[in-house]
Amino acid sequence: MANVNIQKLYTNLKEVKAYNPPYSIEHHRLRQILLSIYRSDFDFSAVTIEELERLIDIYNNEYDYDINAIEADLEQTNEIITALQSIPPRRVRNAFI
Amino acid sequence: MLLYKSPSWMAYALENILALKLLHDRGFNVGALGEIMEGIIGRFFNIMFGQDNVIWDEVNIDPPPEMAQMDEDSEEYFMLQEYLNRDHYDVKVKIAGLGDIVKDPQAKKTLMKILQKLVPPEEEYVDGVFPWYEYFVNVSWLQKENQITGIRFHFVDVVDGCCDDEAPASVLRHLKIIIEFWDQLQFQKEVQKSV
Repeated sequence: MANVNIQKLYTNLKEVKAYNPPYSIEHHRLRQILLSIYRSDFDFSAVTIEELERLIDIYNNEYDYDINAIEADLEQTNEIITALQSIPPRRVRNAFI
Repeated sequence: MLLYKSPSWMAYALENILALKLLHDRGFNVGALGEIMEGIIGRFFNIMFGQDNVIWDEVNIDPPPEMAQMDEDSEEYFMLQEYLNRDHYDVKVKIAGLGDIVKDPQAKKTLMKILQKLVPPEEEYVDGVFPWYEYFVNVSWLQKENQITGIRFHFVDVVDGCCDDEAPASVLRHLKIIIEFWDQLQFQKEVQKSV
Protein backbone atom coordinates (compact mmCIF):
# COMPACT_ATOMS: atom_id res chain seq x y z
CA MET A 1 0.00 0.00 0.00
CA ALA A 2 3.04 2.27 0.06
CA ASN A 3 2.26 3.63 -3.39
CA VAL A 4 -1.37 4.44 -2.70
CA ASN A 5 -2.28 7.92 -3.78
CA ILE A 6 -3.98 9.08 -0.60
CA GLN A 7 -5.13 12.35 -2.08
CA LYS A 8 -6.83 10.46 -4.90
CA LEU A 9 -8.51 8.12 -2.40
CA TYR A 10 -9.72 11.09 -0.41
CA THR A 11 -11.11 12.69 -3.57
CA ASN A 12 -12.91 9.45 -4.36
CA LEU A 13 -14.31 9.29 -0.86
CA LYS A 14 -15.59 12.85 -1.14
CA GLU A 15 -17.23 11.95 -4.42
CA VAL A 16 -18.95 8.99 -2.78
CA LYS A 17 -20.11 11.18 0.07
CA ALA A 18 -21.41 13.75 -2.38
CA TYR A 19 -23.06 11.10 -4.52
CA ASN A 20 -26.69 11.96 -4.36
CA PRO A 21 -28.78 9.95 -6.77
CA PRO A 22 -32.46 10.84 -7.12
CA TYR A 23 -33.72 8.02 -4.95
CA SER A 24 -36.34 8.09 -2.24
CA ILE A 25 -35.66 9.19 1.31
CA GLU A 26 -36.00 5.55 2.34
CA HIS A 27 -33.40 4.51 -0.20
CA HIS A 28 -30.94 7.05 1.15
CA ARG A 29 -31.66 5.99 4.71
CA LEU A 30 -31.13 2.30 3.99
CA ARG A 31 -27.93 3.12 2.13
CA GLN A 32 -26.77 5.08 5.17
CA ILE A 33 -27.40 2.10 7.45
CA LEU A 34 -25.58 -0.30 5.14
CA LEU A 35 -22.67 2.09 4.87
CA SER A 36 -22.38 2.25 8.68
CA ILE A 37 -22.25 -1.57 8.73
CA TYR A 38 -19.51 -1.59 6.09
CA ARG A 39 -17.59 1.08 7.97
CA SER A 40 -18.04 -0.80 11.29
CA ASP A 41 -19.38 2.34 12.97
CA PHE A 42 -22.92 0.97 13.16
CA ASP A 43 -24.88 2.36 16.11
CA PHE A 44 -27.67 0.17 17.48
CA SER A 45 -29.44 3.26 18.83
CA ALA A 46 -29.49 4.94 15.43
CA VAL A 47 -31.64 2.40 13.59
CA THR A 48 -35.11 1.04 14.12
CA ILE A 49 -36.25 -2.56 14.05
CA GLU A 50 -38.53 -1.70 11.13
CA GLU A 51 -35.60 -0.37 9.09
CA LEU A 52 -33.58 -3.52 9.66
CA GLU A 53 -36.58 -5.71 8.84
CA ARG A 54 -37.10 -3.75 5.63
CA LEU A 55 -33.48 -4.30 4.63
CA ILE A 56 -33.73 -8.03 5.36
CA ASP A 57 -36.85 -8.26 3.23
CA ILE A 58 -35.10 -6.42 0.42
CA TYR A 59 -32.15 -8.81 0.51
CA ASN A 60 -34.52 -11.74 0.64
CA ASN A 61 -36.08 -10.42 -2.57
CA GLU A 62 -39.40 -9.76 -0.91
CA TYR A 63 -39.72 -6.56 -2.91
CA ASP A 64 -38.86 -5.38 -6.36
CA TYR A 65 -36.23 -3.02 -5.06
CA ASP A 66 -33.14 -1.62 -6.69
CA ILE A 67 -30.63 -2.90 -4.15
CA ASN A 68 -27.98 -3.06 -6.87
CA ALA A 69 -27.84 0.71 -7.03
CA ILE A 70 -27.13 0.91 -3.31
CA GLU A 71 -24.65 -1.94 -3.49
CA ALA A 72 -22.70 -0.46 -6.38
CA ASP A 73 -21.60 2.65 -4.54
CA LEU A 74 -21.26 0.77 -1.25
CA GLU A 75 -18.83 -1.60 -2.88
CA GLN A 76 -16.81 1.32 -4.21
CA THR A 77 -16.85 2.99 -0.80
CA ASN A 78 -15.88 -0.25 0.87
CA GLU A 79 -12.79 -0.54 -1.32
CA ILE A 80 -11.75 3.01 -0.52
CA ILE A 81 -12.25 2.53 3.22
CA THR A 82 -10.31 -0.74 3.14
CA ALA A 83 -7.45 1.02 1.40
CA LEU A 84 -7.52 3.89 3.87
CA GLN A 85 -7.49 1.52 6.83
CA SER A 86 -4.32 -0.12 5.59
CA ILE A 87 -2.42 3.18 5.73
CA PRO A 88 -0.90 4.47 9.01
CA PRO A 89 -3.45 6.84 10.63
CA ARG A 90 -1.07 9.81 10.68
CA ARG A 91 -0.60 9.68 6.91
CA VAL A 92 -4.34 9.50 6.40
CA ARG A 93 -4.95 12.38 8.79
CA ASN A 94 -2.32 14.49 7.04
CA ALA A 95 -3.97 13.84 3.73
CA PHE A 96 -7.33 14.92 5.08
CA ILE A 97 -6.13 18.23 6.58
CA MET B 1 -14.83 -4.74 8.10
CA LEU B 2 -17.71 -6.48 6.46
CA LEU B 3 -16.57 -7.93 3.18
CA TYR B 4 -18.83 -7.76 0.20
CA LYS B 5 -21.08 -10.82 0.22
CA SER B 6 -23.95 -12.28 -1.72
CA PRO B 7 -27.52 -11.08 -0.99
CA SER B 8 -28.25 -14.19 1.07
CA TRP B 9 -25.19 -13.55 3.24
CA MET B 10 -26.20 -9.92 3.63
CA ALA B 11 -29.68 -10.98 4.72
CA TYR B 12 -28.09 -13.39 7.21
CA ALA B 13 -25.80 -10.66 8.58
CA LEU B 14 -28.70 -8.21 8.82
CA GLU B 15 -30.77 -10.79 10.69
CA ASN B 16 -27.92 -11.20 13.16
CA ILE B 17 -27.77 -7.43 13.59
CA LEU B 18 -31.51 -7.34 14.16
CA ALA B 19 -31.21 -10.05 16.83
CA LEU B 20 -28.58 -7.94 18.61
CA LYS B 21 -30.76 -4.85 18.19
CA LEU B 22 -33.63 -6.66 19.97
CA LEU B 23 -31.27 -7.30 22.89
CA HIS B 24 -29.91 -3.75 22.79
CA ASP B 25 -33.43 -2.31 23.03
CA ARG B 26 -34.02 -4.40 26.15
CA GLY B 27 -31.02 -2.88 27.89
CA PHE B 28 -28.48 -5.62 27.25
CA ASN B 29 -24.91 -4.57 26.59
CA VAL B 30 -24.32 -6.05 23.16
CA GLY B 31 -20.98 -4.33 22.58
CA ALA B 32 -19.71 -3.61 19.10
CA LEU B 33 -21.13 -5.09 15.94
CA GLY B 34 -18.53 -7.88 15.96
CA GLU B 35 -18.61 -10.99 13.80
CA ILE B 36 -22.05 -10.73 12.28
CA MET B 37 -21.32 -13.33 9.61
CA GLU B 38 -20.74 -15.98 12.27
CA GLY B 39 -23.47 -18.03 13.95
CA ILE B 40 -25.19 -15.77 16.44
CA ILE B 41 -26.99 -18.18 18.79
CA GLY B 42 -24.08 -18.70 21.21
CA ARG B 43 -23.37 -14.99 21.43
CA PHE B 44 -27.08 -14.25 21.82
CA PHE B 45 -27.46 -16.71 24.73
CA ASN B 46 -24.31 -15.39 26.42
CA ILE B 47 -25.56 -11.81 26.28
CA MET B 48 -29.05 -12.68 27.45
CA PHE B 49 -28.33 -15.23 30.17
CA GLY B 50 -24.67 -14.59 31.01
CA GLN B 51 -21.81 -16.70 29.70
CA ASP B 52 -21.37 -18.57 33.00
CA ASN B 53 -24.99 -19.72 32.88
CA VAL B 54 -24.89 -21.32 29.44
CA ILE B 55 -23.29 -24.74 28.96
CA TRP B 56 -22.93 -26.38 25.55
CA ASP B 57 -22.15 -30.09 25.68
CA GLU B 58 -21.59 -31.76 22.33
CA VAL B 59 -23.33 -35.12 22.20
CA ASN B 60 -23.23 -38.08 19.87
CA ILE B 61 -26.57 -39.38 18.69
CA ASP B 62 -26.82 -43.12 18.19
CA PRO B 63 -28.38 -44.23 14.92
CA PRO B 64 -31.86 -45.69 15.41
CA PRO B 65 -31.86 -49.53 15.32
CA GLU B 66 -34.07 -49.62 12.20
CA MET B 67 -31.32 -47.84 10.28
CA ALA B 68 -29.42 -51.12 10.02
CA GLN B 69 -32.30 -52.55 7.95
CA MET B 70 -32.55 -49.56 5.62
CA ASP B 71 -31.32 -49.47 2.06
CA GLU B 72 -28.10 -47.46 2.17
CA ASP B 73 -28.82 -46.01 -1.26
CA SER B 74 -32.26 -44.78 -0.31
CA GLU B 75 -33.09 -41.12 0.17
CA GLU B 76 -34.42 -41.84 3.67
CA TYR B 77 -31.09 -43.36 4.70
CA PHE B 78 -29.18 -40.40 3.26
CA MET B 79 -31.38 -37.87 5.08
CA LEU B 80 -31.08 -39.69 8.37
CA GLN B 81 -27.32 -39.89 7.95
CA GLU B 82 -27.21 -36.16 7.22
CA TYR B 83 -29.15 -35.48 10.41
CA LEU B 84 -26.85 -37.68 12.50
CA ASN B 85 -23.80 -35.98 10.98
CA ARG B 86 -24.90 -32.56 12.16
CA ASP B 87 -23.33 -31.19 15.36
CA HIS B 88 -25.65 -32.00 18.27
CA TYR B 89 -25.54 -30.17 21.58
CA ASP B 90 -27.19 -30.52 24.96
CA VAL B 91 -27.57 -26.87 25.93
CA LYS B 92 -28.23 -26.08 29.57
CA VAL B 93 -29.22 -22.52 30.47
CA LYS B 94 -29.46 -21.56 34.12
CA ILE B 95 -31.90 -18.73 34.81
CA ALA B 96 -31.88 -17.08 38.23
CA GLY B 97 -35.31 -16.86 39.82
CA LEU B 98 -37.03 -19.13 37.29
CA GLY B 99 -37.76 -21.77 39.96
CA ASP B 100 -39.90 -19.32 41.93
CA ILE B 101 -41.80 -18.10 38.88
CA VAL B 102 -42.77 -21.56 37.63
CA LYS B 103 -44.24 -22.47 41.00
CA ASP B 104 -47.29 -20.74 39.53
CA PRO B 105 -48.71 -23.44 37.19
CA GLN B 106 -50.15 -20.88 34.79
CA ALA B 107 -46.83 -19.05 34.46
CA LYS B 108 -45.05 -22.38 33.97
CA LYS B 109 -47.49 -23.38 31.23
CA THR B 110 -47.27 -20.01 29.47
CA LEU B 111 -43.47 -19.99 29.46
CA MET B 112 -43.17 -23.56 28.16
CA LYS B 113 -45.79 -22.88 25.50
CA ILE B 114 -43.58 -20.11 24.14
CA LEU B 115 -40.46 -22.29 24.19
CA GLN B 116 -42.26 -25.13 22.43
CA LYS B 117 -42.59 -22.85 19.40
CA LEU B 118 -38.85 -23.41 18.87
CA VAL B 119 -39.47 -27.05 18.14
CA PRO B 120 -41.02 -28.04 14.81
CA PRO B 121 -43.97 -30.44 15.12
CA GLU B 122 -43.48 -33.91 13.71
CA GLU B 123 -45.78 -33.07 10.78
CA GLU B 124 -43.00 -30.80 9.56
CA TYR B 125 -40.43 -33.58 9.57
CA VAL B 126 -39.32 -34.58 6.09
CA ASP B 127 -39.84 -38.32 5.60
CA GLY B 128 -39.68 -38.70 9.36
CA VAL B 129 -36.39 -36.79 9.66
CA PHE B 130 -35.86 -33.53 11.53
CA PRO B 131 -35.74 -30.72 8.90
CA TRP B 132 -32.27 -29.61 7.82
CA TYR B 133 -33.14 -25.92 8.33
CA GLU B 134 -34.37 -26.29 11.92
CA TYR B 135 -32.23 -25.98 15.05
CA PHE B 136 -34.16 -27.15 18.12
CA VAL B 137 -35.12 -30.82 18.39
CA ASN B 138 -36.68 -30.43 21.79
CA VAL B 139 -36.86 -28.18 24.82
CA SER B 140 -37.46 -29.00 28.47
CA TRP B 141 -36.96 -27.59 31.93
CA LEU B 142 -33.49 -27.86 33.42
CA GLN B 143 -33.86 -29.43 36.84
CA LYS B 144 -31.67 -29.97 39.84
CA GLU B 145 -32.98 -32.04 42.74
CA ASN B 146 -36.52 -31.72 41.39
CA GLN B 147 -36.25 -27.95 41.27
CA ILE B 148 -36.49 -26.09 37.98
CA THR B 149 -33.34 -24.03 37.54
CA GLY B 150 -33.43 -23.17 33.85
CA ILE B 151 -34.11 -24.48 30.37
CA ARG B 152 -32.54 -27.22 28.33
CA PHE B 153 -32.36 -27.67 24.58
CA HIS B 154 -31.36 -30.39 22.18
CA PHE B 155 -29.77 -28.14 19.60
CA VAL B 156 -28.50 -29.24 16.19
CA ASP B 157 -26.36 -26.88 14.22
CA VAL B 158 -27.30 -26.21 10.65
CA VAL B 159 -24.72 -27.12 8.06
CA ASP B 160 -23.58 -24.20 5.91
CA GLY B 161 -24.97 -23.82 2.43
CA CYS B 162 -23.82 -25.94 -0.48
CA CYS B 163 -21.42 -23.27 -1.74
CA ASP B 164 -19.50 -20.25 -0.48
CA ASP B 165 -22.13 -17.91 -1.78
CA GLU B 166 -24.97 -19.45 0.21
CA ALA B 167 -25.60 -18.35 3.78
CA PRO B 168 -26.70 -20.70 6.61
CA ALA B 169 -30.40 -21.14 7.33
CA SER B 170 -32.08 -18.24 9.08
CA VAL B 171 -32.18 -18.32 12.86
CA LEU B 172 -34.03 -15.05 13.44
CA ARG B 173 -37.42 -16.67 14.01
CA HIS B 174 -35.96 -18.79 16.81
CA LEU B 175 -34.21 -15.86 18.43
CA LYS B 176 -37.45 -13.87 18.40
CA ILE B 177 -39.09 -16.74 20.31
CA ILE B 178 -36.31 -16.63 22.93
CA ILE B 179 -36.94 -12.88 23.18
CA GLU B 180 -40.66 -13.53 23.64
CA PHE B 181 -39.79 -15.99 26.42
CA TRP B 182 -37.57 -13.39 28.05
CA ASP B 183 -40.27 -10.71 27.86
CA GLN B 184 -42.81 -13.08 29.38
CA LEU B 185 -40.33 -13.96 32.12
CA GLN B 186 -39.95 -10.27 33.01
CA PHE B 187 -43.71 -9.86 32.98
CA GLN B 188 -44.17 -12.82 35.34
CA LYS B 189 -41.51 -11.41 37.65
CA GLU B 190 -43.46 -8.14 37.83
CA VAL B 191 -46.69 -10.05 38.50
CA GLN B 192 -45.06 -11.94 41.35
CA LYS B 193 -43.66 -8.75 42.82
CA SER B 194 -47.07 -7.15 42.83
CA VAL B 195 -48.74 -10.09 44.61
